[in-house]
Amino acid sequence: MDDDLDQFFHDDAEQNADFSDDGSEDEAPDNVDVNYELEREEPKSKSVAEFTKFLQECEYPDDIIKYFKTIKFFEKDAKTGDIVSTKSLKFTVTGFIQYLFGTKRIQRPVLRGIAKIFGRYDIFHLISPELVKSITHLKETRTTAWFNLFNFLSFVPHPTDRVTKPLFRQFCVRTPFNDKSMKKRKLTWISTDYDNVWMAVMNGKISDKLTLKLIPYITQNVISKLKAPFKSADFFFKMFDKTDYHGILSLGAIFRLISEHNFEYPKFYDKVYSLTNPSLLYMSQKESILTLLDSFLSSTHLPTYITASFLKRLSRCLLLAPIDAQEPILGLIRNLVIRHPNCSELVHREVPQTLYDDPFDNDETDLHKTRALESSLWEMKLLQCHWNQSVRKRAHFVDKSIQKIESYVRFRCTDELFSVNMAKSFGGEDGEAEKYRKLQDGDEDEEGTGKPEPKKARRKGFGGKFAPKHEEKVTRAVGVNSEAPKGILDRQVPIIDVPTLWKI
Amino acid sequence: MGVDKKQKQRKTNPFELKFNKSKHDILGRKKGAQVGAPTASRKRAHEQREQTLGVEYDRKNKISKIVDKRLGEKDGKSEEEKGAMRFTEERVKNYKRASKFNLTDDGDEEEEVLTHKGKALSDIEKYDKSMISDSDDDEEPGNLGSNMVKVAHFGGGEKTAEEHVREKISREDMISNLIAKTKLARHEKQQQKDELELMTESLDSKYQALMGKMKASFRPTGRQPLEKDDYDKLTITLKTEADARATPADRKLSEEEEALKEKERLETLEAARISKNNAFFNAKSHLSADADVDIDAGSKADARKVQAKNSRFEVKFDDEGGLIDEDTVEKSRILKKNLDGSDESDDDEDLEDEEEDLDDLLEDEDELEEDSDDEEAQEAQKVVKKAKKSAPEPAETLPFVFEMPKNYKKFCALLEKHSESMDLVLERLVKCHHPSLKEGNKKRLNKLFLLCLRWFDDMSKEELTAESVKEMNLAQETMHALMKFDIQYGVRCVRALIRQHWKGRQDKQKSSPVSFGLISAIRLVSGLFPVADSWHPVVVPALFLATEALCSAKCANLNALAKQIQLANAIVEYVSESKRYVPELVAFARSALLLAVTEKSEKFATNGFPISKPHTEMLCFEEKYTGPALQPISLTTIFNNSPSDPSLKLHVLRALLSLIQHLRVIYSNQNETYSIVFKPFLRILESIQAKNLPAEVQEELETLCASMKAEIGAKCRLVHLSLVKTEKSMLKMLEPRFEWDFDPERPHHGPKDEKKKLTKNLRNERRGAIKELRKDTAFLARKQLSSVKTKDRARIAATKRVMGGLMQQQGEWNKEKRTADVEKKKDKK
Repeated sequence: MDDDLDQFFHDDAEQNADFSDDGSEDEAPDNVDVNYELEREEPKSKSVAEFTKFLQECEYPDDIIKYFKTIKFFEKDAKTGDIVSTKSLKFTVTGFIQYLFGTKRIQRPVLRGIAKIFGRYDIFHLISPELVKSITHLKETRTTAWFNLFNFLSFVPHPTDRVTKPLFRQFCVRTPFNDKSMKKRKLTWISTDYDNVWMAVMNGKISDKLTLKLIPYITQNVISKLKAPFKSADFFFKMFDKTDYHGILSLGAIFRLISEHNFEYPKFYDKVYSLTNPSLLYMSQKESILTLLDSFLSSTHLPTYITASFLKRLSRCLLLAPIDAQEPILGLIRNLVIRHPNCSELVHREVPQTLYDDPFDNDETDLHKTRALESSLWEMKLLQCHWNQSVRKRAHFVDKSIQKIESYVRFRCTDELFSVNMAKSFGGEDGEAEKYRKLQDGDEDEEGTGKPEPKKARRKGFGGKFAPKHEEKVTRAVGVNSEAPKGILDRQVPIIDVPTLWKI
Repeated sequence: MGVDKKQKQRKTNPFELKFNKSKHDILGRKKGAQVGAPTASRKRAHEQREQTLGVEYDRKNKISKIVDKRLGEKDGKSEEEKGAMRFTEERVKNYKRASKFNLTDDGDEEEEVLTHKGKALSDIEKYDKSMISDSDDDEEPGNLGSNMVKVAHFGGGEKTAEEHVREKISREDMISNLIAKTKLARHEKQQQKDELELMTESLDSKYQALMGKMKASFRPTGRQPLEKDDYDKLTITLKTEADARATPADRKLSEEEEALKEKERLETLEAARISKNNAFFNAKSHLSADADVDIDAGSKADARKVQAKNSRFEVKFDDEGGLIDEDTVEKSRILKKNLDGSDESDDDEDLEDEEEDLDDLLEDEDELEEDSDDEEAQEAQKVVKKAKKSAPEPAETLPFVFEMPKNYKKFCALLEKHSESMDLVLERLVKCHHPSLKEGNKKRLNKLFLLCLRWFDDMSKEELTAESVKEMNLAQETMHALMKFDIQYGVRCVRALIRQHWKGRQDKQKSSPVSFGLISAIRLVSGLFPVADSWHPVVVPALFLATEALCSAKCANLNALAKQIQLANAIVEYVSESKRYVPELVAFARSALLLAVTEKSEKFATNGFPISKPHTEMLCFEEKYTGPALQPISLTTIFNNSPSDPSLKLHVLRALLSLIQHLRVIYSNQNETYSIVFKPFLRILESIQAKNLPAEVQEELETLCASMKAEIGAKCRLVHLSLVKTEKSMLKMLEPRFEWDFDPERPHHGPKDEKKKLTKNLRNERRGAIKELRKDTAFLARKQLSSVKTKDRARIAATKRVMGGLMQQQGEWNKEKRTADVEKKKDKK
């Protein structure tokens, strides 16, 4: 099925190449009568139900093209003399909408093929008003219809991205789109169609399952294309208040509305604070979310209690975070302390006091009442015992004086971290040999004196402040257990007496 | 009195005075002496030096007294007594010197006799003297008379009458006479020497007796030998023992030698085993002798076989046939016993073989007796049974020397062949291929490591049984032994296994629960490598794999949850010694504990836990537990995905509580963050409904809650973080410095000024001392010079006097001469 569709897509591309809009629209062939198509008798066409069924049954886009050649699309109005749609064309449009909103789930590749025909700007101009009406009346429970609609619309491009080829030119010479006024405002009314459809979608009663896919798509692809992006504010504010997951997904859009279009969301930081929890760091979108969080907290005019609360909350999240979230959040915390010098009290106090318990309340949702400024970042002490070496190193920033320059918040996925650790060099000598070498102090002194000399000699030649550092390959010894291991399932941690819980 | 003062003042010469002028009168400066008399002070100094230093100089090498050290002079003794004392002293002196190098006659109380080979040196000397006498006789020309020499050497050419007479005597008589004379001369000389020795010995004995009497008057010479203490005796024994150095009987062999020895042992055992098998074949060939016996019956070749069988049955009833049956019965029994013995014994010892032979012989005798008692029909039945028993071939024994399998198929085939004793096979395989025995053995052992690792992995992927786990343990032990030879290769192989698991999870099984293969691989890493290092090329990737698998898997049912808890236990193994913090482990434990609570106070930290209603209360007990008693969780049931029993829920909850107990104990050293981490756990544990649980689990839960609460209470106190301050030096200011206790009288006071003052005083004193020494030297030089001049003057005067006298004499002589000359002239005229 997919292969067949691919073949036909290729064919369509070739066919599209044949037709060109290079000013050849007005020049009609001499042999053909221009008004013949408008004045000829309308042939018999399929009804709405029949066309819908036809669309469901046909397997190739060529079948649709063949059918379109047999019918008449436009005729001249008897009264005004304008070119108007025929009954057949109206049946076709209505049938397509019924096909789209049917009870069957249409596969995404099929919709991609369909969109190559019905997504062209001229027929889409006729489809969009009816589509808007249908979307308005579409109910929330009809999940299949919503998914079909979303998939179809995702294949309809905006004029700024790509302008589609006209569809009706293949079948008749004179169409309503040939007028000069229509040509002049072509991009305008194509954009208007796009806006109308998407606004209808956002104002409709969207199915819950679709929102999780719809929100990131609209945030990335649609908002920047709308003529009036602020009109989507109702949609996003509604999503923001729905659930935590929806709120997290719509943070980007809300932030853009606030920063670019002067919207105001009451208690925005309280909301973001409530969304920041350990489960956030196990999501696949953690990178974009943390980047947004860095943007939210980048202003130096934020009140200190807000920054301190976020510092403590992020520190608590680190105690339960996976390895790929540890480094960026540690960098973020360090940058926050540097950015807001008033918060350095969390790291260093001139007169340290003894407290009975941590005054920070992790369950409090009001940022005024969390008492974060009275606390300290004790969580960093625990992370200094982390199982990964680089996290241990980064967590030691609380023991050093506060830096002047912010560090780079770097994101690396788990696979990259694993590869880095696998790529570290090892070997060279056995563990015992190195121990013996370390015990002899004279050898160490000699090596210590020997090593910097070539570095200096090299640096003289390769001098410069910004020259790349010459990193020597460090060979680490590999340790091996000296005692023979017990059985695979017989090993017990000898800390406490535990009853036998497992057997073969 | 006033008059005396005036006189003194008058005596001073005013021109000797010196006045010191001061140009400017400076405030605060001490005024020196206004008036001085340097000439007078110089004179006074000179006089003092004359009285002190000059006197010493004059007396040097001149004034002394004689000390008389002669014996007896001071006491006023008589002449005889003086002589006696001096004589005694002289004798003692000579005696000491003389007896110093005397070896035999020591002056000590205990006379030590010097010996050589058990004999006294004095005896040896006598013997030597006798020898010397023999040589002397030969060498000295005086032993033979001149007459004998003349006769012996045929000296002289003139023949006298005596010579004519001697010619008549026979030659034999002459020679015998010569020998007799020589012997006589020797005898006489010996007697003289003996007399001399006797005289010498008598003199020595007398001298010793004399010295014995006079010994009491002598003073002890040198150090007397002390009585020997226990320490001295011990020291002497140590010295004597130290000389005799022990040679080690059993030297510790090096690794290579041990390997070679082991290989030789295995080879000898293999040779013994092979020879035993050959003996078995010889026993088989021994049966052909029976065929020869049949051949002797004298029948045709084709019919012989058939007739042989028939003849056996026929011959049974004859006397000879009975004998034949006995032989066959005996041989079959012997074979069985040999086989049994070889199966039982791993260590083949000759004694055991001999014992077995003896037992066989004894049993043979018993059988003979029994056979004679039984009836013929029973004999026939026994023969048939034993024939059946002897028909199947015996199983081969385990060989001692193996060749290294070339690929995995052959490796598996080898292990299947000896499936009952795989451990011995692997052990011997390693010992036969020690790297020191042959070139290229290291590669072979590396290949064996790879084969064992692959075998381990295959076993872990198969269905989980007790046997497969046993084989995995054996593979682990073998890999641990092989790791000694090449650590790098082992590390690379295990890393490859981890990478394989990682790619498998990343590509396909992102959210599925862990398999037993992954858990066993992680446990293998902790078995082979130390997990407490700060960084390890195998342990760190294994932790990446384990934590990623723990957090990304979905726990949709109890089986999946049990698998994840087993993986968490493996991670606890990594962390229990080094106390590293694993956030993924804590998040998993907390989220899993939420499954046991109906009203959830927080959200799941990780993504793998169900949110919908029936599954999110997987570990809640809404009804009273009426299942069987507490039992361990069956790993076979869990990992083989067989349907689980209703009691699994309780057992999984119990395992989860045990995991949390481990975490509590491991992280109890984190004083600052203990309450931060474990307060949420305590909150969840307290909200678990324990009334429906059995009593034992309730007790465990209450114990855990109580201990956790107590520990949280103990570690609540916190101190704010603060950095260590580094003192910074203040900037130097240009403001004037005010001294609040300034004293214009003493503007310079304080420790620095005191030190400066003392230094100045020291320098002045030194300068004064140098000046005095220099003046002393000049004084002595002048004194010496004046004495030299005085002597020179005296010598010159004496010389003049002598020369004057001589000139006067010369003058008188000249005058007389002139007078004589004058008179002569007058006489001539």
